[in-house]
Parts: sequence; C-alpha cells; structure tokens
Amino acid sequence: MAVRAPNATAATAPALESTTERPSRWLRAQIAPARTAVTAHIGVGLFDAALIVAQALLIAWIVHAAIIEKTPLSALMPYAVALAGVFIGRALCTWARGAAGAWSAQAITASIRQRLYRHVAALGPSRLQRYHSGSVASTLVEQVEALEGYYAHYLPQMVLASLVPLALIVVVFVLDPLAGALLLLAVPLVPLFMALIGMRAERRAQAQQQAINRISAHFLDRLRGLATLRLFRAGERAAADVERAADHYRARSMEVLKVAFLSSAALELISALSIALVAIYVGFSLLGFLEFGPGPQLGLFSGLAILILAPEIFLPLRRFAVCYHDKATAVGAAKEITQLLAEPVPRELSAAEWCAQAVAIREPESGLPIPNPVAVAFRGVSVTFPTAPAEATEPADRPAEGQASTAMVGLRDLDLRIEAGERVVIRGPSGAGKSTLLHLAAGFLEPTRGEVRIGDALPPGGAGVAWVGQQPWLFHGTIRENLLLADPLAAAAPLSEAHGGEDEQRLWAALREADLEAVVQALPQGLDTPLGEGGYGLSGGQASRLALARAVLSGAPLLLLDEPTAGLDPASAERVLKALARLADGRRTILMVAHDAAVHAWGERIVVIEHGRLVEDRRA
Amino acid sequence: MRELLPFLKDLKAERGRLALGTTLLIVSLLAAIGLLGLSGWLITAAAVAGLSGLALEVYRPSAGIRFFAIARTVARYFERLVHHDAVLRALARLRGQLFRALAPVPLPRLARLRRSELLNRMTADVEALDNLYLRIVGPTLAAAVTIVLTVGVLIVLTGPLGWTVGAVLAIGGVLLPATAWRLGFPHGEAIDRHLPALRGAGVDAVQGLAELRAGGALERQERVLMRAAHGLAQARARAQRLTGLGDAAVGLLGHAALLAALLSGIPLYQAGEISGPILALAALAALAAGEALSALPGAWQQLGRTRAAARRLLELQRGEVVDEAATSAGALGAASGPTVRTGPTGTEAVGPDATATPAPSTAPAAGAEAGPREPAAAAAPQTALPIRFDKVDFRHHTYAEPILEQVDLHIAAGEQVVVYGPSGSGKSTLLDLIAGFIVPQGGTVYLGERASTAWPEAERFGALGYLTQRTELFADTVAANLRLAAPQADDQALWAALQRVALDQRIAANAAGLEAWVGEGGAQLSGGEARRLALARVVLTDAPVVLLDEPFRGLDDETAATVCHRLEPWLQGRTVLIVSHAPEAAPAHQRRLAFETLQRGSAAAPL
Repeated sequence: MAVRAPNATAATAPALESTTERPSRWLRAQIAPARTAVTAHIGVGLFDAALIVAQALLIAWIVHAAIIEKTPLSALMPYAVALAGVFIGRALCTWARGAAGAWSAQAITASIRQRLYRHVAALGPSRLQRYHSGSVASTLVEQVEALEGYYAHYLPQMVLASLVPLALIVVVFVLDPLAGALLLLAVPLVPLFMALIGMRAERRAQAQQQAINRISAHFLDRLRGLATLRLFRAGERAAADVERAADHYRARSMEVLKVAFLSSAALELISALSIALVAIYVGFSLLGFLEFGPGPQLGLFSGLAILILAPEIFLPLRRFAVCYHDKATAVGAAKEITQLLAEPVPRELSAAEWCAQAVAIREPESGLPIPNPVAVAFRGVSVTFPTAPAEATEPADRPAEGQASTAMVGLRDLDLRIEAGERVVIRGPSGAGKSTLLHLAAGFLEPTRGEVRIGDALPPGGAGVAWVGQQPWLFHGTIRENLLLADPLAAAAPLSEAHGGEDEQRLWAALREADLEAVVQALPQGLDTPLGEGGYGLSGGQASRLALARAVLSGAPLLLLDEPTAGLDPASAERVLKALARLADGRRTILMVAHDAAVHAWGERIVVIEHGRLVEDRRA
Repeated sequence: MRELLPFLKDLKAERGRLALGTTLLIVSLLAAIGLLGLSGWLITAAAVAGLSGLALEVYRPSAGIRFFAIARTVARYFERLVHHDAVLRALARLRGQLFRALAPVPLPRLARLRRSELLNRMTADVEALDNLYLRIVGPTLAAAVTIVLTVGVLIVLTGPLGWTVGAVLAIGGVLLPATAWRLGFPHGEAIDRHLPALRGAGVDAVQGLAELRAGGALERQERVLMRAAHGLAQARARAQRLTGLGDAAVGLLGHAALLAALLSGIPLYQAGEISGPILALAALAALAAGEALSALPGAWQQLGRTRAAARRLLELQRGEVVDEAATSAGALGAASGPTVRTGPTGTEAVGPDATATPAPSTAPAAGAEAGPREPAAAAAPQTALPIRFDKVDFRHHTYAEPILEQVDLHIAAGEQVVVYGPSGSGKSTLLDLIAGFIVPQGGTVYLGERASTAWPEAERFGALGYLTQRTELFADTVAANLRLAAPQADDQALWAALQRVALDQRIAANAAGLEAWVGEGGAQLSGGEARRLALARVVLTDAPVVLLDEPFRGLDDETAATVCHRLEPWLQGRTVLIVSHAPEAAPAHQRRLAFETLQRGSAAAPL
C-alpha cells in the first residue's frame, strides 16, 4: 500500500495541468483509442473524393461521346457500367463512413467514461461533496454522451473539409486553369466564412439550445408544482403562463437565428454563384466568345466535368457547417469533464485494494462472516479544507430545507484511540467535525497532519469498512442485488450468475440480523423485489436496516454509522438501534455519529467533539 | 400513425407559416435543380453551337442561371426562419395544452408522477415532436412536390425519358423513407430503453459511492456502468449504421436517376427526338432531383421515436398514465412520509435540524416588540368550517405499516388545533387527507358537512389555505409566487402578507423588491426564507380553513416567535390545524393533541 504524505496532492500537479488545457485540444487528444477508426473514416472520405472525380469524368465523357461524337449507346455501355460501379462504390463509402464514425465514437467515449468513473471512485465521497451529486452523475452519463457527435462527425469532417475541396480544385485546374482559378478565388472566401460560421454557428446552436432548455425548464418547473398550483386554483393561469413564457423565448431565439442563418446562407450563396459563374464561363468559352486564356481549348467533356465537380467542391464545407453544433456541444461537455478530471486524487486506488479482504471464518450454519475487530487510532490529526473555488459549487444545489448542510468541517490536533470491539458514540453540535472523523476512519479523506491507523495499517480507502450513511443509498435493482453488493463472496462472481441455495440462506440470515426478515418475506417477490424509482419504496428505517444487513454480509470489522436514526420516527429508530445492538457483539468496532439521546444511551463510550476538538471522552 | 394526427391537427393554427415555409423549401429545391439543369443545357448548347458555328442566344439562359443561384439561397434562408418560427410557436401551444390536460389528473396520482421520471421524459417528448414537422412532414411534402414538378417538366420536354426518371425517383422516394422507418423503429426503442439504465448506473455510482467503496464493489459498479454504456453505444451504433445505409441508398437513388436519364435519353437523342442540350439538362436535373430526397431516410428513421413520444403524450392527455410504480411490487406512497432517496430527486426527509430545541414561550416577548407594527385586522374570512375524521385508516401502500388506524378527530369551526409528534411519524398525512391529496383506505374525512373527496376540487381548495410539507416555490419573481394565491392582490397586500411572516425587510433590502427573482425551487432564498414566503402565500388566500405543516421549520427561535405572534390575529375565526414537532411554540388557546395517541384511534376523544 502506498504511503500517503500530507503533500501527496502535489505529486499529481502535472496531471492537473494536462487536463485543464483548452477543451478543444483535450478533445483532439482523446482520439488515441480509435486512431485507426478515425484514420479509416478520413481515408474513406478521400477515396470517395477520388470516386467523385471518376464519376464527373465518366458522366461528362458519356454525354460528350453521345452528343458530339455520336457514339451509339452500345459502344458507351462499358462506360455506363463503370459509372454504375462508381455509384455503388460511392454508396459503400457513405455507408462505411457512418460505420467508422459510430465505431470511433463508441471506442473513445467508452474510454473517457471509464477513466472518469475511476477518477470519481478514487476521489471518493468526501472530495465530491462540494459538487452537486446530480451534476457529477450527469457528467458521467450525459456529458460523455454529448461527445459522440464530435468524434463521429465533426472531427473527420473537419479534415475532409480542408482536403477534399483543394483536391477537387486541382482536378478542375488540370481540366481548365481559368475555371480552376475562378474556383480558387472562392477558396479564400471559404476560411473567412468558416470563421464566420464558427462563431455564428456556435452562437446559433447555443441560442437555440438555450431557448429550448429554458422553455423546458419553465415547463418542468410548473409541471412539478402542479399540485401546489391547483391548491391555489392557479392551474389555468399557469397554463397561459407556460405558453407566454415559451412564446417569449421563441421570440428571443428568433432574433438570434435571423442573424445566425445568414452565415450558412452566405456559404450557400458562394457555392451557387460559383456554379453559375463556372457554367456561364464554360458556355461563353465554348461559343468562342472568350478569345483569351485556355477557353478556346475547352470542350463539352471538360466543360461538363467542371460543372459536375463545382458543387462537390462546396459540399464538404456545407456538411462541416451542419455538424458544427456537434463541436459546440462537445466543448461544453469537455469543460465539465476536464474540470472533474482536474480534481486532484491523492493516490490511485489499485484494484487489489478495492477488493474487500477475504473473510476466512464464517458461521457454519448461516454462512455469515465472523469479523475480527480492529482498533482505530487518531494521532495528532488535523484536517483543513481548502475553500472551494466558486465554479465548483453549484448554486442550484441548495440542500433540502430543514436538513443540515453537508459541508465538511475541519479537525484540530485530535488524539483518540478506539479499542477493538468497542462501540463508540460521537456527539457534538452541528458543524463540529463529527462526519470528518468518520470519513477519516473510512479512508475517504486523508489528514492534513498526523495519522490515522486501522489496526496497524492505514485506512483502506473504504474497502473493508461497513458504512451506513444518514440516508443509505439503495441501488437500482432488487433487494438481493442491493445485499450482494457488499458481499465478498458475490464480488468475485459475475453479475448474472444464478444464485444457489447457500447464497439464499446467507442473505436471509443477514436480513434476520437486521430485523428485516419479516418485511421482505411479506413482499410477493421477496428478495427479488425491485427497489428504487418505480419500484418498492422502503421506509427510512427499513432502508437503514437494509444497510445494516449489508454490513453484516460484508464481514467488515469496522462499522461506521453517520446518524443512522436521523429523520426516523421513534419506533423505527428503536428498531434500527435494536438491530444494531445485535451487531455490537464485540466482533466489530463501531463508531457512530448521533444526535439522539436514545442513541447516546446505547454507546459504551461517548466522545464529544466541538469546533474540531475533542472536548470529552467518557465511558458510559 | 393515428397517434400523430392530433399533433398534426395542432399544427393547423400555424398552417399559414408552415405553408409558406414549405413553399419556400420547394422554391429552393427547384432552384437547385434549375441551376444544375440549365447550366448543363447552356454548356451543351454552347458546345454544339460552337462546333456548328450557329448563333446562340446566351443572355436569357445565363440570366436564368444567376436567378436560380440567388433564388436558391434566398428561399432557403427564409424557409429556415419561417419554419423554425412556426414550430417553436406550435410547441409553445402544445406545452400549454399538455399542461391543461394534466391539470385534472387525480392528485394522488400526480404525486406519484412527480416522483417518477415521467415528467422529465414528458418534457423530452415534447421536444421530440418538433421533429415531426420540421424534419418529416415539411421536407417530405416539399420533396414530393418538387419531384412531381421536375418530372412533369421532363415529361413535357423529353417524353419517355421523363417517365423513366419519374419511375426511378417515385419508387425510390417511397421505398427509402418507408424502409428507413421500419428498420429504424427498433433502434429508436433500444436507445430509449438503454438510456435510463445508463442514467441509473451513473446516479448509483455517484450517490452510492461511499457504499460502493466500503463494500469493495467499485469494480462491480464499473462493470454495471460500462455494460449499460456499451448497450446504449451498440444501439446508437446500429442506428448510425442504418443512417449511413440510408444516406448511401439515397445517394445511389440520385445516381440511378441520372443513369436512367442517360440510358433512355441517348437513344432518343440519336433518334433525333430530343436535342443534345435537353439530354444534358435532363441528366443533370435528374441527379439534382435525387438530392431533394437526401434528408428523408434519416428523418423517417426517427419517426418511430417521434411516434412513441406522441403516444406517451396522448396517454398522459387522456389520463391513461401507465403508473410504473403500481405495476411493480407495491405502489409508492403519496406526497408525504419519509422515504429513502432513490434517485436524483431526493425526497424531503426531515433532517436533524427539525428536531432542534423547542421554542420558548412566545407571547410576552414578541408582543411588546411587534405591537406597533401589527397589520390591520384581517378581513373577516368566509364562514369557518368544521373538520371531522371518522374512523380513518391510512397506509402508504399495501405492505407498509399503517400510519392511521381508526382515527376519530373533530375540529370545530373556528377552533385551532396543534397536532404534535416526532418528525417522520406521518403527521402530514392528516393534512393531506383533508386536502384530498391522498385518499384514506377506510373511513371518511369531512370538511364541513361533506366528505372532503366529495367536494369539487376548485371549491375545496378555495376553502383551504394549506402550507404543504414541501416548500414549493416557482422559478419566478417574489410577486408572481405570491399572486398565485391572490391574482388580484395589489403590492400593498403583498407587503402586508410579507410583513406578517417577517419577510418584508428581507425582500425590501433587495433592490428589485417584489420583482426579485426567486430562482428554481426558491434557490435564491434560504430554507427559512423560502418557508416564510410560502407561508405568506397561504396568508394571501384568506381561506376559512388553514392547514399548516411545520410552519416554522428552518426558522430560528426568535423569528419563529415573531411570525407566530403576527400570524395570530389572522388565524382568529378560522379553523386551523397545525402539525408540528415542537408544540411548545403554540399559543395557549390552541388545543394540543399528541399524534402518537391520535394515530391509533383510541385516545383522541372528540369534543
């Protein structure tokens, strides 16, 4: 296990720099896992350009031969067949580009998401506290999804938009230098308009997205409060209000769109006028009106070929403009992602540490693990928290009213030794640093000074500790899945593996320990009852007891509880404490933060903390 | 397709704009075809004339080319503006309609809807509908008209060549979107199915991080997350490959039309039936006409999702809401009661602060201080009503422990009652039952002479001033939040209400005053301030029956005492039921009942 120095965060400084660079550069640097796919995508696009040239030449030749040379159709059939082949080839190219885009996007986003998840996991709950939990989850899910278009469309199209037009102009140049020069004249306009599109398209995409987001947010806000609106008999007024607000945002976004659509109109105008000019120039040359330049040498073949190539020169640029919003979306997402990745991690958790220590001894009948209690020692521990940067704190994340703020509080020179098998209650006013103490013991947090020891080792970063928070988290899934989550026997097994009778027995035994057996037995689907959104809602006390059952299964020798009875009615709280008492059999060391007097009576040792200092330590 | 009809009908109001937009789209498509076709004609005619030494009138064709070039761009620009405007207008109206349609949903179900993801999904569904006209109906209509017109011109000019090109475009134009729609349907559905799974895994990973680390389950959760992500990516990749296939096929269609034009045109030309320039014009026009179809396969591929969105919205409108909660093991409880956070939207379980030290006796201290600023005596309320619980049973769901058993309770008209008990014990259910937010499993709750559920909702709510457990403020101004209760109230009345809850100075301190923005869910106010703003809103209702759920939650003792004192004259003459964890704060004349004794029916002796 790596030893953590207090200045361990400094060691990760270079990594910090590399992730705070500009989002677009960061985005480009992420293609590594799909370099082949991106290269293939661009390669196919270039091959398609070659086919475009072949197609233009073949069509021009067939028309020229038929009209000027009066070649019979039968003699032209080989060319027609070749043209059909080129068409099929182009169709294959289009299909292949779509597939390559999907492939690269999938590979890149998967790699980013995995890295992000591991980073979040290594940061742990303490460091994530200053983020809105919803925003971290959305970064992990939605923001990573938002990168897809960048790799599937934008990036390859950007390369193609700069290469293909030039390559096609070279071909036109060979056919007729003056027509080539004419199109080349349009090219300096292109970077100009690209820049214009860059800014305008971004603004357009943002304005439109913002309008839609605002309309939706307003709609959702009123929809969520519909019961309240009805309570005040304001439903009809609110409906009119929803319409009015939506119309207001529409009017505002239309103002922006009016200007923003101009940029694509300009690009289209350049394209259309170039085609028109080339057509008129070629026509006049063929009529012999133009005595200068290469005009007189121009024939129907080269004239038609140029005409067919002209729109194709501008097509990649127009496609690029279309997928520009992919970039705007991705840059916004990348900002969120890099901000989270820049959050320093004291040390990487290795996979070996993640696995809970193997539990050797189990009760023969129930299969429940018998833990070996450990002592916990805090030696001269101080914790200071840096003040959070303004952008990291989400203003929208106001804790539910009546709930204590979850902000962490520091500790000063704390010396405390908890013997193996002791059950200790930590008391103190809100904001005294009680939770910080618990997070230190779990290893979610490292002391700024001093050291924390579990047994004779450093805190394990969470693993091997049973954690029961104020509002235990129930995972999307069944009761069984929620229980097995902490079970070292299940951790090794694949997720989908069928559960044998031994598992079944162990789970029921754990539920019995936590006083939940009867509740689960009464459910028609028993252990396989789905929990969470759209599923069965356990009451607060039942959820706390489920968390205790998890703790039993984990076999963890150290049980950390953060106000497990807060917000519970007295009867429920009593049941939780009773279940907890069964676990306090000397086989586990228990640390519990609590306010309730009932809980204080339960502890055999009371530790009081105020303003980050230990002020009282007595045995009950 | 029937599910789309109502939404297409909704678009009728915008038919002027939509018709204009679609016409502009047709003009721009025709101009593009004209540009390429006429250019081909000019070049070929010039080449033929140049060789034969004949004169050619070039000014009108070249003017036509320039006209088409400009018309294409201008028409396209205005088409975009008109279409976006029309669709945003239609969506604004659609939101209003949906809102009205949801308004009569029974309240208990509304509480369940609020908990589920349904409302979020509904918002996304409304957005998905802009796809319907902008990407599907408009372009399809425009493509059809454009192709018919182009083929018509070709038939006039070339006869059989036009028919051949027309046949190719017609077959392809029908087959491609239809195939894209059929093949795309399962992909859209797969994406819709995988997205919530991924979101769930993401929320679990972050919210349950402490549990995951403690349980050594980080790797397991990583597998769950990555598997969900992989499932979604696979579904997306399949959809994207299909889009690629559609693009390839539509490209091939334009090329096939060109080839058909050449193969059928060359013999016609060589037989002298059409001229060379017309042959070139037909070939290039056929190629360009294929492009009118280019956006269709991709759009039709999305039709499945659009339809699913439309179907869900219609179900909501008709009230056939699929109650996901009810289909699994047990229905979730209604609006109140502590439940465990299981999603991004936490419930409002009462935290440790709520169980803080009881407030000291209020009357003397606050009386001396607040006397001079006492607002004018409240207007006499409508006739106060009695409240009666008759053997009421309530539990949140079938398997939950009962919260109320055989509860009898009588509150006389004009009487003030405080029900006290620890946080989380279910006191709020009493108030929710009176308001009809939830329905008892047994017994009856009477409001006046009638059962609460027998009242028409508007009348019942007209008689109630209810401060709910949850502080519900809207993303709007202070004034707008207050006027929900009294739309006609003038600023003076609003200030008076704010004064009663001791919030007037706080609001006045802000430069924007009553027009200050409250923010989403009252985010710009502290918990206690938001609570008082909600209380001021109840004061503005002037209702004869007042239900207050923990009115002083989040307030410090001093403020709570001030508010309690200033509220007192207003409460006079109304039937009042307050639930609180700290009964000590209640004035002496209020009857106090312990919830624990009331809960099991026996001890609550009716008056």
